[in-house]
Amino acid sequence: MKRFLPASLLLHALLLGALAAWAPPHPTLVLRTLALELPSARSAAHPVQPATAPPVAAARPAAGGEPPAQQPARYRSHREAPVQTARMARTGPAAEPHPRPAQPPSAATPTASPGAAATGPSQPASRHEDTATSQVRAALYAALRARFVYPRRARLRGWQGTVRVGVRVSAAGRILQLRIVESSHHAVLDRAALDCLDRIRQVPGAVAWLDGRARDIVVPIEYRLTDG
Amino acid sequence: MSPCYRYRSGLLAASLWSVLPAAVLAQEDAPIVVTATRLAQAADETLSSVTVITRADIERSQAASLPELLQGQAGINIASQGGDGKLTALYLRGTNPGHVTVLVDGIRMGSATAGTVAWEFLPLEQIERIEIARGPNSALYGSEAIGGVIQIFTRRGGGPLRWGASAGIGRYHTRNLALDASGGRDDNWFSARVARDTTDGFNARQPTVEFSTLIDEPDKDGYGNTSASLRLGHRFRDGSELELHGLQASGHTRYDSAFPYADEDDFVQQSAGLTLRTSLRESSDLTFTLGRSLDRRRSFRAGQPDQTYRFHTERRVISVQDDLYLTGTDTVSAGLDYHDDRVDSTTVYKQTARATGAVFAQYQRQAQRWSLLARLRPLHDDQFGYYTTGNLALGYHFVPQIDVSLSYGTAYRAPTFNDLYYPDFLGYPTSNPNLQPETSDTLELGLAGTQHALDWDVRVYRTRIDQLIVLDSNYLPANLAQARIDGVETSLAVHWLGWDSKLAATWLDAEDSRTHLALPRRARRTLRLDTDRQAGRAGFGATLIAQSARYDDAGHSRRVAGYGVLNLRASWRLGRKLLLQGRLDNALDQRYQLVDTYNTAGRSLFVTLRYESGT
Repeated sequence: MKRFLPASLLLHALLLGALAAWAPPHPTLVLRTLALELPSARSAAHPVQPATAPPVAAARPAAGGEPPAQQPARYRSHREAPVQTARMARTGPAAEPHPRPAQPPSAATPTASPGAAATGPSQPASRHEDTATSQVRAALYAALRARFVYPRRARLRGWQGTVRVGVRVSAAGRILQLRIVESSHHAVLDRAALDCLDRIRQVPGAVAWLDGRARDIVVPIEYRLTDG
Repeated sequence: MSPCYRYRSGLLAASLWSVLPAAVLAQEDAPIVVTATRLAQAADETLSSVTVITRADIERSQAASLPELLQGQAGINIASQGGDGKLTALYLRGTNPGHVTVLVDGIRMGSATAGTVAWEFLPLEQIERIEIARGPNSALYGSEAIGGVIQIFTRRGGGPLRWGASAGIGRYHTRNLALDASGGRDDNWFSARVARDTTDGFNARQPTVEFSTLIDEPDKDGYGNTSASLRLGHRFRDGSELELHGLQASGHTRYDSAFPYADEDDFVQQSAGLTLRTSLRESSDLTFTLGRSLDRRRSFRAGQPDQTYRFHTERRVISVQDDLYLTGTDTVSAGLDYHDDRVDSTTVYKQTARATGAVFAQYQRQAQRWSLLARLRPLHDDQFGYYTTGNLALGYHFVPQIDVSLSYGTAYRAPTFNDLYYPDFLGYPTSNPNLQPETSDTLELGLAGTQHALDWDVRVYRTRIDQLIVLDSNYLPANLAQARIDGVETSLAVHWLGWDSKLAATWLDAEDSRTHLALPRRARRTLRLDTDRQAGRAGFGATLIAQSARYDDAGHSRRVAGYGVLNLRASWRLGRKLLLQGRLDNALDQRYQLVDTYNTAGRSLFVTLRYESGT
């Protein structure tokens, strides 16, 4: 055994070395997605300052009014704002299609008064947009249907978790940007989610609902293993 | 009992999408759920035959012991000699009991002298999951596994802090008591459990004449087992995981033998280890395991101090494995596996230590349609030199959820210390130091699929074992035989009308190529059916195990009749934290034998009450 151990160690080291040298580079697909994750790249393309955005009620166009087409990337309300941080993602529920009346004012939206955000008068005005966002979301989900693959490595290691991906859909229904809003704490799962979304160039049937405006949608993807 | 059969190809199972109505989908809080089954560690499920038994399956089955849980599972024959805690042999795919590699949390178990694992002492209470990988085309650690690998994982813990207690009582004055605590937060997890199982038992053996000696001890042969398991784990910020795990079972069992030979055993089964999982580079997993296992048995007879025998095996294990995920479809693994066995015994063996080391390399590709696996494992044994084993497997995935696979694998098994080095008895030799290792090759064709609520899997294989060690005309072990084993295994899992049913049917033709006689204790046909239904607070279930007749000896002079046993069970949830379970084993009170002249339990009722905090 004494003779054998160094020999086997050497063989193993050689094998691993050969494998490391042989391993192909990561697919460019992943690199592109990674680049998209960079906040600087994102904000350079779309300068957005949600914290200083005008109050919801003020910025929201009148019911039935056409949104200004020349500002496709502008967030008209924090409801549609791309969720940039995990902190903001958690304020998401305040911006759900059906706001909870008891929702306290969020620190992230100091200019939006609770009354304006959650009471009756503003709701009819927001209905159209909420429905539209929901429809775009539904179209996106349909496009994603059956595309997700549970990474083999995660299945072996028993990794589970929920990753929330921010998706910007252009007015033309194309996916412009992807961003991890909240990590699953497993890089493999985060990447798998990004890779999957990255393969969709166009969200079918979404254009009709987009009203010529870009939209930002947070897609939560839950990876769950069954034991048996 | 409902083991989980896993037939789907990796891709197929992975893309299982939870279908939700559009209205639900459209809400931000409704996540896209991507589900898949956890992959078995023991072997790749698309290319080989794996049965997984989860904790939920174990609890639903209410099985009393590990042998009872494993009996009749696809490819498995179990021969127990007289009830709980009595000598138990497991035949996987018709190979010898020593042809199975058993790992507890990655640590190799078993006695180096007998070459087998004491299945009867491994406590079910401490087990989270069992993976049965049939055939030599199993885990990287499996080159000594002619029949296959059985991996056992102890309880993992994690999740919210909780504790539980259970107590049970039944016929033969069988009692058990268990206490457990588990929990974890964020990146830590732990589980700690203790259990005590005792039974007064029944008379293990009928009066028998063996080697012209009368064996007649019409007493009750009791058994007691105290076990504990502990697991502590931590996940570091960089994703590396460090885990400490240990299992111990110790106790006492009584059996029947001729005066003045030993008729009681004290035993210890232990496995302890440290596992580190980390990544050298982003797309690789490095697993490092360091551990030790103990198999100790002391046989004695009260009042006969000269009849005390000690057989201790201590095994130290080191393994390193690196899995490199090249792309989504290709994985390359390489590693090192080393273990040394040391024997400490009252019997003076001519050799008391052996070291075995192996390196392995594996390439695996799992594309949309094709799967490929190639593996090579050169091994060095300090008593037998170099042996190389390998595997090649190819799988094809048809669209209507059908997988076909073809595999070929070789295996190797060194003779045991008993066969090689047992000292002369009364001047006559009993062992053979010139024995050579047994070698085998196996060809297997697999067909598996999923249709609606039905999962099915059929495996057809032929195994040839060369240099098979059998006793020659002077009762000396010799590499005389060649065995040919043909087998068909069918597993079905179906969910129908609220009933979850699993069927395992095994057809086996294992014969000694010289004599053309069937190998002993292997039934030609074995069937196991588990069916369970949960209706609100109540649960019902039944297990049917049936085996055809088999012979107890190589010469076919002792025939053991076929049998069928029906076990019934029910459970009732009393509120959120209390669960009452009851089972009626051998409900039809069949009198049958697993091994000639050894008794089995009659109809017996067992009731358990279990408390769990915070469920």
